[in-house]
Amino acid sequence: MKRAFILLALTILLLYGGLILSILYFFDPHTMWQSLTSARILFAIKTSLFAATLATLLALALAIPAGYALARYDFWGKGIIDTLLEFPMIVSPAALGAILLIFFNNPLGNWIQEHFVTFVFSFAGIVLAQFVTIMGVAARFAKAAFEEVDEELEKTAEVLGASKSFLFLSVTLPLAKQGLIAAALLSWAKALGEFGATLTLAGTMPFRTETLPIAIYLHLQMADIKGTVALIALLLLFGLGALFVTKKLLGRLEW
Amino acid sequence: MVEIENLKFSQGPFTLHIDRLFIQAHRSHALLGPSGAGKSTLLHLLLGLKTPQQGEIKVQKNSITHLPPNRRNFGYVPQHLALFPHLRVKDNILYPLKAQKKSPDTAFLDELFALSGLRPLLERHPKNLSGGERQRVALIRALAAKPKLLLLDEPFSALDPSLKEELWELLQRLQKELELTILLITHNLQEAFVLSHHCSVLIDGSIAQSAKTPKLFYRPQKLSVAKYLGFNNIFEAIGVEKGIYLPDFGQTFRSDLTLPKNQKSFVALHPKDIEPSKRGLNDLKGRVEIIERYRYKLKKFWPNRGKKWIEIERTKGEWIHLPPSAFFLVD
Repeated sequence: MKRAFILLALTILLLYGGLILSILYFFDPHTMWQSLTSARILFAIKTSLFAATLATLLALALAIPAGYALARYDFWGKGIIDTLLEFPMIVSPAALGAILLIFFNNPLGNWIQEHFVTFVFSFAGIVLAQFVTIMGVAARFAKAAFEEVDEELEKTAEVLGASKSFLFLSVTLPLAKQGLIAAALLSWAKALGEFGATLTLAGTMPFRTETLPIAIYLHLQMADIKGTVALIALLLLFGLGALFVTKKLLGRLEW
Repeated sequence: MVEIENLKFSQGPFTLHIDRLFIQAHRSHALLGPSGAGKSTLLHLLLGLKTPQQGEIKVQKNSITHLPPNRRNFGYVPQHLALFPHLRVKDNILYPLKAQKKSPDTAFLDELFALSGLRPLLERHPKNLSGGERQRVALIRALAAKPKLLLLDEPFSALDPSLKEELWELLQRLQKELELTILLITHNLQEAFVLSHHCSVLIDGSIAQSAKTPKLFYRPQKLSVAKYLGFNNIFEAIGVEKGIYLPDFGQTFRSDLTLPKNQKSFVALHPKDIEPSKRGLNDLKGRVEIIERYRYKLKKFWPNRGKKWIEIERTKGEWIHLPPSAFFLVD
């Protein structure tokens, strides 16, 4: 029984590890170098990194207080919000992008675009698509991080004279730090790999809204396998790097 | 110092109702009670973590009933100590001062470190401390900002007996030297007896009895309190012309307490008031059974004519004397 279960667990390694290793077949260092020095790809990398970072920061700005409220307080609508955190996961990314696109075609969406920022087919659209995709994950992780903090510590801090803001900054936040950093890195990795919603809302315009995943899609459409593999390797490098750092921070990295 | 008047708090089927509770300044007051009696609820009301539906809590005649917890200036040692794991011992101790934006009183802190012996541990993190050391840090942290009242919530419950007694001594020393006002919440009778000047027993959400500790332990006035304190010598009594009749022994005893004729009540006797005797008035003949308990012997006196045994301390022969002054009412 134990052996069978372990074997099935190792199947996961075989599946994902095998898929990652399989791209080595078409991996070409020369193409990789060409990609890294191409102005268009460099723009896509910069766009991806910048948009993912911005989307993560915006998501955390909302996820940290919201996660704390969900972890600590009872209020009307808490159950619904808690369920909605999974909304980006159950709706396909393309559908999520379509929902956003449809929203910006209704009178309110039009008004927002006219008076504030243009989201459709723009850099702001990439950030928004990524933000909407990762918001639920970021809030879910933030909530879990705050739930890990012993409430007795907060109560004691308060009785010992700490105001709510002082105890949040001096006790809650430092103790939830690891979980919040993990939330940030995982959200960032997810934002970096976001494709469907970005494609639908922001489009695929080179030197404008082309991100790394979109560049992969465009290279594949042109049947440029080596170019595609080079870009996948780059994306994997960033994504797996973020996951590695997260696991290290959580102290859970074992071989 | 601390006065609680007509305090009421209900949650679900449970209601806490404290008519009056007074905690004297510079004295140690123990709040005893069985599980579910409302000790934690009362503690949370005092700390400001819960708001009463009725009544008032006053400190030095000023109402603090609606003050938030951080503005009450109380020291607090919770049951599981709640040391901040990310802070060194020193920063844990200085936390109340930083939180209240008070500058540290170096001389006072030095005195605390000297009394507690914590100076060599200041740079350590809580995870690197022993159980007793953690206890001392929590105690000193609670005192650092010179609180008006120190609240201790079963702080010694998880310790080994020898360590417990060592910390009792430390707390007694701190209370005496710094003239602290303490409210100790506990269900450990020995702890309450050793550490407190006054004691209150909370039963089913209300104070059953409040008195000086020796008096409460020696002569509880309520049946529920006597039972909670582990009194074995509680008997039904009926008032008769020349004293009280105890149906359990089928005998009338002379007694200093006055019980109207034919009135039924309960009386109790402290084992140390029962004397060995040769034979006379208020005496019972029987045999002694000794039961070994940890660190003491329970001496059961089984009267020849009787349905119940009597706990005694001294024994000599087969007779015991129940002095008239030994009986007291518990109702």
